[in-house]
Amino acid sequence: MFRMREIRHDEFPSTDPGTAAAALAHAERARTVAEHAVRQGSAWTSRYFCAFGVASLVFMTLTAVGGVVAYVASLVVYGVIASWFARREQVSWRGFDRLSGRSFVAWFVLQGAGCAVGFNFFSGVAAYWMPVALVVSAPLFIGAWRAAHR
Amino acid sequence: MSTGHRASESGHPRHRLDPVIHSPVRLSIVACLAAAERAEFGFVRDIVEVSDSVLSKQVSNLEEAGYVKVKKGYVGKYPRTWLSLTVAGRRAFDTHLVALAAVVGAIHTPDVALPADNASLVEGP
Repeated sequence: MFRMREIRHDEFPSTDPGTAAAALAHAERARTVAEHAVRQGSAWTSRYFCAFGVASLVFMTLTAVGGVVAYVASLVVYGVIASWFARREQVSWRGFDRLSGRSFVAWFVLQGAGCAVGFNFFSGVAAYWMPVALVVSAPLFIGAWRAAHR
Repeated sequence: MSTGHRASESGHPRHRLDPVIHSPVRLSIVACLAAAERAEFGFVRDIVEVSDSVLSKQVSNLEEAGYVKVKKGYVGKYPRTWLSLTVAGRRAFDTHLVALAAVVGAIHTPDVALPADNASLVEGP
């Protein structure tokens, strides 16, 4: 396997075609090594989405019993823990922020709509909250799937 | 019209090579960051296989050029430094690779007018 230390770390002496070919080969190898390492180091992103999706599913279902205060409090605590966990990780793949932003915006909008309808018309009705919990958590599970299959 | 003048008019791809990225260490750093949204200093150090001081110096050069963004913070009590490629850095990396490929391709392309100092490298009949 290619190792970066096999490369001489002095300047490429000139820009003639032969040197350019060496520099291009170096760049391609460096990119391959980096992509492989970033892919391995970013495996946590799929687990991150998945864990947030499961938490959302559980907390949304519990909303039928505990009400909105219990739901929001649980998610805030979980959000803080998840953010701390994400900051501990060394690397995230290119595009993670965009996928993360889209997934959480979709989750937030669905959650707002689900809660607005639920608290006004279906308070305490488990038959409403359970399927809504699935729908609300769906963007996070889709995010987990996309992170795993990027 | 001289050969040199014609060469400069045609815009030989070597003029598009980025001297900041052309160094092998900096090229490796940029290639590493190009694959990531952001990466921690230690991660890049281990991938590029250089010492902390070498990486720090090269990252400073890239930061000065506006190619890399450096963000410092803490995880618990421990200081962390995250590196990410800026839009300009990503564009510069892509342009540099295209220019390198064009320089390599130029040796096989008789249509491309090479400047006088590189003309001897072309394998002619």
